[in-house]
Amino acid sequence: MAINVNTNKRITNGTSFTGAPSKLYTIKNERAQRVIEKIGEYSSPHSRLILGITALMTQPFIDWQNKDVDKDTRRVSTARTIGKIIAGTISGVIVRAGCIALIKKLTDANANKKWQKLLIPTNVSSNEYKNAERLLKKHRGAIGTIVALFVMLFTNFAFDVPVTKFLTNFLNDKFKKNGNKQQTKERGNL
Amino acid sequence: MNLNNLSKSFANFTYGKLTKNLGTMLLWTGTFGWILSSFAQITAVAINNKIPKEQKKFLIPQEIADAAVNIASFIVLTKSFTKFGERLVKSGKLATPKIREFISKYNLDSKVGTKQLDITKLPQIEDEMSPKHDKDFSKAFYNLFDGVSFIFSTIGSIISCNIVTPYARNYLGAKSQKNSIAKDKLNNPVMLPTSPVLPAQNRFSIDDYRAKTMNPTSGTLKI
Repeated sequence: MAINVNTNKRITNGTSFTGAPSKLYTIKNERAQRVIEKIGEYSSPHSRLILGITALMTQPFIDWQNKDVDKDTRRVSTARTIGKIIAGTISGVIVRAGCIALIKKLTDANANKKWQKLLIPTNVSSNEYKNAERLLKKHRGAIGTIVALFVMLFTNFAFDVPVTKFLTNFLNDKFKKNGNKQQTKERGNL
Repeated sequence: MNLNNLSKSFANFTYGKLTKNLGTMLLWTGTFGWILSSFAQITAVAINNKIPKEQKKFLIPQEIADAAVNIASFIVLTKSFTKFGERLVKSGKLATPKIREFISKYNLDSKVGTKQLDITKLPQIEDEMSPKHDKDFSKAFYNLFDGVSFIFSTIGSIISCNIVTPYARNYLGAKSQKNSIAKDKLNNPVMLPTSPVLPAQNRFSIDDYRAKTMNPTSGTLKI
């Protein structure tokens, strides 16, 4: 879906941050505005998932095309890259989303119990915090992401490392078998 | 310091530094996330017994180069893209019709698109407790700002992590492997024999020569 960006008026009396006369862009399309507003509600789990998906679309091909190393090293390197991306993305998304959901329980401005307000900042009045829905969501996202970093100190070794190792070896064996089949086929054709 | 005080300090610190800016939050938490995951991945290669030593000589330097380049390029590219995207919205260069209406309402048209205007610093937006605070302006502005901030920081991180870093680490890893192999050859040179030496029983003696040459027949030709 294309975002309809229309150029508005040209300002000639002000200096832009590049020094050139400023050109203005107005997003008039309401659907585009709603999409951008929805994206603004995303946080670190969504960012991590998008990064993981785009990584799978680019990194393995870059590694496979690397002619600076021999074929065997290229094969292992590609297998390890795919394993690393899959393990890292799964753990990254789950841990971040889980921590943000947990932090929701500790930032409930309407709750009566003290422990449920443990992570509400004191330099903001609770009324302001209750009404500032956007800030509340951002605050939960930020704290949840920081807590997730500490949790990942454990999951990196408990999950990422063994899963990466398993996937690397599994994919390496698969690529080797496919490579041998290809060679046998080529020899048969000669 | 009890748990309550510690948690409040943590909450206040996060609120002050990271809550109000999605792009900055993603940048710094992403950086620390990459540092932790890189350390774990280097360990994964080192302890994997199925990867031969020869290939580890490429993969471990590749992982270290991956970590260093990933973190450096993540900070530089993601920060640049995020700052650029945020600047577009803060200066009013990129806006929705609703935001343009508010800009005109507060007579800020002449400053739009320039360094002089930072909408996040306006009293109508910045301080929610201020009598000048305009809730509708604030909502319209942040609906756009948060989305643009996320989009630009994601683009920056995709370019740094998925394009720049793989090419850079492959180049550095291959270079390191070649240097390592060359160093190995220098320390353990392969000795070649100077001439082939036949075992004693296979040598042709002078008596054998005489016996062969004194034979009156020459192959199948009868003289």
